[in-house]
Formats: sequence, structure tokens, C-alpha cells
Amino acid sequence: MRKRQKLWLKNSQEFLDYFKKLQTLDTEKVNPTFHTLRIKTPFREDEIKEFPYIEDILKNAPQLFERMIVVPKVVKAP
Amino acid sequence: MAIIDLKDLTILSALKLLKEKKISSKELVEESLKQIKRIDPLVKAYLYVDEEGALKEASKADELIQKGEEKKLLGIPISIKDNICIKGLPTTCASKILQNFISPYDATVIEKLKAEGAIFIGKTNLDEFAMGSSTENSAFFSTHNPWDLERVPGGSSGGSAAAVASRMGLGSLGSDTGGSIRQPAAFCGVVGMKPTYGLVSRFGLVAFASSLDQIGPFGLTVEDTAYLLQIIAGHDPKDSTSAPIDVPDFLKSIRENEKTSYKIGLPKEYFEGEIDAEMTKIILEIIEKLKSKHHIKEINLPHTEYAVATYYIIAPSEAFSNLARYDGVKYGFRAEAKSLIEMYKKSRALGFGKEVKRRIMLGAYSLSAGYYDAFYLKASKVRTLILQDFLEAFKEVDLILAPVTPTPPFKIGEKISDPLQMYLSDIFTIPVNLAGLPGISIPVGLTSNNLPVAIQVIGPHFKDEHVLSLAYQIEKEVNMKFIPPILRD
Repeated sequence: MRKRQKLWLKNSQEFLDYFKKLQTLDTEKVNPTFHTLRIKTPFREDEIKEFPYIEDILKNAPQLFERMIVVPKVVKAP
Repeated sequence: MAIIDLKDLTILSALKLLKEKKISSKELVEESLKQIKRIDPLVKAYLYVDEEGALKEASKADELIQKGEEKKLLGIPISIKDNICIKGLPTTCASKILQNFISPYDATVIEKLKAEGAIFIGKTNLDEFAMGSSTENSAFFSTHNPWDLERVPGGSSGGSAAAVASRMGLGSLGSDTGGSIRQPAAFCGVVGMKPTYGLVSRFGLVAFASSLDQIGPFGLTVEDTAYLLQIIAGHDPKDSTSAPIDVPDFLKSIRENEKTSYKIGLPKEYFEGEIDAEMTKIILEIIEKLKSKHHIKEINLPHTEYAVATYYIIAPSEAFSNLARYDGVKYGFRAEAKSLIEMYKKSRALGFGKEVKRRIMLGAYSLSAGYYDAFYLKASKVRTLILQDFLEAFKEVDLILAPVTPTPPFKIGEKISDPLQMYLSDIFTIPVNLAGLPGISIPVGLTSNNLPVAIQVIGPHFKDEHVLSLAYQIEKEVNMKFIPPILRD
């Protein structure tokens, strides 16, 4: 194993050992918190809104053919 | 031409000078650009400086000022952390994977600042994708602390804090996921605030850990910080976690409450353990002075010691999900490959840095079927306990005072090879993000090595005005100007 991999493994093991600290707490009757804001998920009308920057988004694509993003072939010829 | 001494200038004082036509925005921007040319080769706070754009906007601002137009930031040069989108400018997140990315739209905070006439002088350095506490994880270069160039400016918003401290722009915006505004503010001797989660829209902020990320301001004074927060806060339908609340007038509130007495809690857990003795002494001296006016008592936040472990499970789990979008398909770096799968793998392997990969792997591990309950779910439950600690404390006290960091700024390279030690340095800032509370860092003194020391004010949800108000009182009590030696030489 290379030196870098060994260090990586050592560090990762240290984290996992450190995380075990949480197992010492009794959380059986505790509800999880996924975020702290006490609001309900907002819903809005399903209306079309114009997005004016499509060309600017396409400019960031690594490879374009006309206005389509090109990726390596994903289908096999029959 | 007016002589501008940037050391004496704040946003509010510059606005006054602009209004009185004692200086022009062009002169102010030119002086700030000169400062960048003088200081930034040493500090390296900026990833991108928009000299041409800033000068153009300054001329426009001067025309509007001549016409008597009044806007809250008309003609004021500020910087923006490079994970917040400004249309037409690069947003790299200090990552090779976004090296050539040009923002196609403005973040909501940028729209708001533009509407008030702010000038964006450049984008500031950060730890890659805001993952780090020292800015050493930037894929491009490390930022140096203007108080001591051999030391880190903190992170992840180290570029923003160092830029403001070096007077390279009068204010800045950063993002705070586990302390990324407050810790660099503390290390660089400026004011930095993480608002309540939901007060400021995250639309256009590149996501790291969505339930923890929050954009916030840096300023040279509490007034400047409150003023910037006023402009960027408020409900935004584009961010589903943006709170539909009325934003108070922060500046008015802090001035009206200059003499208000608060019930303040000192969490026992934040003042014990391995904390730098000299720093603690400076903080306790300030607390002693505050006792004549405020009711101060010791409180308990018993789950503090579990915060770092909780955070470093939850934040990487969310990052693992958020960073899946960087696959080389639609934008960002794409590696040459023969198949789509190979392209995904190579683009990510070559595009992401070491720390980002580490966190993606920790997140993947914590969320995997066999470990979900023991790691992610467990951490989410402990998060509830940490939140409850604060909610209980705020039944007894109005605000909490604590250190921001266990030590003054550390040396570049000192902790980078020991990531766990680096993570543990966030112990006093992380619980505030886990609980979604507002927190601010204010400089209160200097160590014998001439390094800044700061104190943190923490408040209940959406009591940001009280946090600012106590910070304002502390700033008056301290009555010091924090000018790094690099500016005096």
C-alpha cells in the first residue's frame, strides 16, 4: 500500500473511532432534527416562469452540438 | 483629488463622504484597487479582481450621486466569497472542478446588493467548497493572515476576512456552515456574523451542507455588519428554507438598545478544557467589564462535547448528496474518457481536492444502508439534544457569550496533516450551526504576539438584532481599532 493510502486509511479510522463517541448517548426517545426552521415546506402554483439565462448556462457546457450537450456514447449499436 | 485613508474608512463613513461629495466612488474604488495591488501579493485574499467592471460601476455610481440618487450602498466597493454567484463573473469555489465556471445568474443576495448600488471589486479565496478552517484547502493557493503572514486567516471564508482586515474592499459576504464566517473574522480582527438559518436566502450560494449553510456579512464595525445584513436579509421564494418573516431595522435597533441590559449566559463547557490561557484572560476581562451593566450567569450546554462528531457526520452526508452534481456533464471540469461512467469517475477524481474527497467518502459511509442508523440518524438525534440545550438555556438568558475559537490563529501547515485536530478547532462555532442560531464574532483584544482575540455572541432564533445589539455594546466597551501591522509598514 502506498504511503498516501496508508495515511488516508489512518485518518479515516481516526474519524470513525471519534464518531463512536455518539454511541454513548441514549437517543432512543429522541426525534431526529434534519433542519432547524419551524416552517412547513412551501408550495406554489405550478406556473411557468421565464428563465432568461439559458444561453449563459449552455456556455458552461464542456462540449456542445448546436444547443445540445454532448457526452460519450451511452447506447450500444444493435 | 481627495486623499483617502482606507484605515479610517468604514462603509457608513464612506457613504457620508460620498454623499457630501468629499470623495467620489471612482476615487474610492481606485484606492481600493491600489490597496489590492500593494497588499494582496502578500495576503492572497482574492481569487479574482474585477478591476474593469468595478471602475465602470464606480463611474455609473458617481453619475447617480451627482443626480442626487439615494441608495444604501451606492458607490461602495465590497468583495464576495467565491462560492456566491455574480452573473458574468467566475464562481470557482476554489476548486479545479469549477475553474472555468462563469455564473449564469445572480444569487439573491447579489441582486439585493446590486439594487442598492454596491460595487463588486472581486471574489475571495476559500477552502475548496467551503470545506476547511484555514483556507489551506483552496485548490489554487493559501491565504495569509494580515496580522502575521506565516499564520492562517481562518476558513473557510478566509479570503473575505483577510480582505476586509487589509482594507481591500470595505465589507464582504461569506458563508458559514460550521463557523466559516465567525472563525476567520476572529482570526483577522474583523466583525463577522452568521445570521439565523433562514434569515438570508441561499439561492445562488453553491451548496455544501444545505441544512447548515448560511450567508452572512463581514464588516470593520458592528454597524457596518448590521447595515449589510439589513440589505441581504429577507424572504425569498427561490429558497424553500427562507423564512417568511419581517426583517427588523438592525441599525436603528442597535442604536436604540445601546444601554439595554441583557441577561447573559456563559456556557461552562466553553470555558474549560484546552483553551489558550492568554486568550481566555482577555475574554474574561471584557466579561468582567460587562458585569456592571448586564446580569451574567453560568449556564450549561451539556451536549457540547458531541457537536464536532455530530457535525462531521451531518455536513459530509449533505455534501455527499450536494456534490453529486459535479459529474463533468453539464458544466465544470470534464476529463477525457471513452465511456460516460469513466468520464464521471475521472472528472471527479481529477477535479476534486483531497479534503472534498474525504468528506464525500465520510458522507457516503454515514449514509450507506448498513451504517445509516448508527451514523447519520444517530447524529441527527444528537443534533436535537444540542438544539434542546440552547432552547433550555434561552429560557433563562437572553444571549450567550463564548469564545469563537480555542486558540489564536495557528501557523500555515500546522494542522493540515491532522484533519481531526483541524475539525476540533471548530468546537465553539459548530453547535450554533447545528441549532440554526445567529452568532457574531467581534474582536476584543490582541495577544502579546499581536494576534487578534474575539468573542462570540449567540442568540435565540430570529433575535439577530439582540445579537448585534450586545456586539455593538461590546465594541464600544473595547474601544480599539484593529489595524494589522501590514497596513502600518
